[in-house]
Amino acid sequence: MMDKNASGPGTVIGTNVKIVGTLYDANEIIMHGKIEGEVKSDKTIIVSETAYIKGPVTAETIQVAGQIDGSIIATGKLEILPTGKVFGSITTKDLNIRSGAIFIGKSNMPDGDKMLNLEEEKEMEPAPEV
Amino acid sequence: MYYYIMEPATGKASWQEKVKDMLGDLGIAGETVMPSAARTIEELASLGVIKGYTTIVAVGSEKIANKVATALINQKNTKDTVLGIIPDDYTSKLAKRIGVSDFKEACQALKFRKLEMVDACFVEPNKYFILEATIDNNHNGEAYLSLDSIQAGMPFDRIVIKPGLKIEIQDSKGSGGQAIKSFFGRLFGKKEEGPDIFTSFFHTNELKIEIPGNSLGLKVDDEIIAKTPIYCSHVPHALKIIIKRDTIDQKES
Repeated sequence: MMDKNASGPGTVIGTNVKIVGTLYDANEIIMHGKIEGEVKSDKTIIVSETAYIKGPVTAETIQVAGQIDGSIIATGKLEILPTGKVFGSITTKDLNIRSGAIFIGKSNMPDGDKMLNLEEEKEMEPAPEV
Repeated sequence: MYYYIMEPATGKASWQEKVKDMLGDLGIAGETVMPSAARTIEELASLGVIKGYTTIVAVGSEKIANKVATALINQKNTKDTVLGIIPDDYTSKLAKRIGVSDFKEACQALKFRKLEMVDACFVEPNKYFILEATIDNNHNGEAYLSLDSIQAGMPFDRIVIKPGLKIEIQDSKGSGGQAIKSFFGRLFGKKEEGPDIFTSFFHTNELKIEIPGNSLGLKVDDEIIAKTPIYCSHVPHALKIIIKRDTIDQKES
């Protein structure tokens, strides 16, 4: 875990950076690089065009312009932009997939209570392999 | 009560005399010492604490302020001891941090004694810094960072570490000349084309930096305080420093 302080700065991962492990920030995470592991934020995760994530991604709001091989849980909104590629299951209340985006996997759109339960389950169980 | 450690610097004797006069005028003159081959800055600072001075003032560059800060943090029983600073460069980050723009303001700040607790960064085995430290890379090697629960590898030009372990990794080599394009863009009034995707920002509580095949210096104000591999950790509320009274909104975060 990087920081639990919600008032602190966010995390930015440059495009030439390669990471292994669990990246957590209470604030925004902007990914331009590559990570093998879980990415988790209490606020927003932005996955830019150059980014590649191999692992589960969890946040309130997630915007995907790069590639994610793993499950996504967005408690608020998930947006997959035209350059975005998602290979894995997605769970969100508010989904926006733009023309040109690639999504291969299962989509769940539970109501608010189920969403909270899913988040709790997600914390208890290891991430499913895609 | 005040113990001044002055940095020996050529061409600054008249400035130091002016500072001494101002301190006398304000009624806060005290013992003034200068480091030598026999007594280092750290030793002088420790001596000041042992003598019972409660305000140790570093007069000069960021280098001396950092050395005095390191000595004070390393000393036990310094809860009541505070660090005062009279910077010799008023455009420096140090001057901005304490909110002063000339030596008169710096001397007045000492007199009015508004105290602020500052965080520090500890570098093994026994160094601290209170502003920022940098690692410059003139080679093509990559840096490997171990943060709380991640391992990261990356090319870099410069790593900047600030207290609170806020880490900025600058990588202009990987940008394919973006820095040059950006410079000419700004020169001819063009707007930036997009966000900087090469610079990384992390924040953590503990950090290890390794540069395989190289031992690069971690510098504070151009002085090497450690060499890679380095282990850093965040030290919250490490030291009390004296800042200008009305600078709460102006200080750097």
